[in-house]
Amino acid sequence: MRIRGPGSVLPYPPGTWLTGVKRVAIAREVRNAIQCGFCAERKASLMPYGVTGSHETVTDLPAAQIELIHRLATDSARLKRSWARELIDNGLSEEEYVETVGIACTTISLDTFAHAVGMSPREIPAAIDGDLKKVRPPEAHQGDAWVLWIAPDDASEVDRETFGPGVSNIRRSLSLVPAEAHGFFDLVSNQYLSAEQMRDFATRFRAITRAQIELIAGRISAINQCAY
Amino acid sequence: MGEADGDGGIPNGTMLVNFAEAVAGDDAERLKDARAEVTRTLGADGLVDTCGIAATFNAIDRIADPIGIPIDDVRLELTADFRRELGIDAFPSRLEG
Repeated sequence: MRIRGPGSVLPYPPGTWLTGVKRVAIAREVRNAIQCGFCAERKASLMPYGVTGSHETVTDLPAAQIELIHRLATDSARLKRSWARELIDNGLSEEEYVETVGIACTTISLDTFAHAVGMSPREIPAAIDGDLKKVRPPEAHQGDAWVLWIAPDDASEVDRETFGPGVSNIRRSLSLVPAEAHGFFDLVSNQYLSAEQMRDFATRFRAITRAQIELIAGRISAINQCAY
Repeated sequence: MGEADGDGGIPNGTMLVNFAEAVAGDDAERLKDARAEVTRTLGADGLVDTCGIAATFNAIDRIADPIGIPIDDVRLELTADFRRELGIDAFPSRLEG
């Protein structure tokens, strides 16, 4: 995990399944994970699932949610389907799991940008109260991922461009909580490329070339040992 | 794209790889130097876009892993050779369990 201090964190209003307070707590816990001794010990181990201990936390989030946040922040390459299932069987709904992943990764993206560019960090804003929608998209089903998602042929007319045929699996990964998927990939569009731009190899959208973009992306993903 | 000459055939490839590694690493001085080199070579806009790409993929990798998404069918066959050659198939995130 390569976060260096706080950056700008946007997801502080209520989400679909998690309150603003919980979303802010997730962002705080992401930043705390790099200082967690248990995470460091497990990261250094050749057998991470054999290491026992407790996370050092700064919030009162449930244990399963803490494990999810800390693990994806510090050692995401060695996650297993059975690990995910255990968290979901121990108090996290699939929707909460997906929303937590979205918030944590939004925080990681913003913080990594601040670290990379050498910006002064900003404080995490206060949470905003509000009602939770708690609506599961009826077209979400169990597919090839570890959690429910909207398969290409199941996407509604509204979300056909976002989750429908021809869209990459990474863009449908958070589709169980569509608002989270839209939020995260809005950020991706601003920092990287939109889905439409990705398919247009003839136009230059950035100050660096497409080949340079993919070289950086590939090196970061290799370091993270992400096979996707 | 150009000929492979240490930059992997990509202009400023070595510099960009060094910057990506510095962002992912723990050496503050290395990152500071790498950032300065990118700014000198590509300008402020180039630095901002380079940081945006690094940030995006440091996060997007961590979405792919806990969601357990499979490689897209359309890419599976096309990338089979180089995934095997580069050892990507041996990454822990490719293993099921």
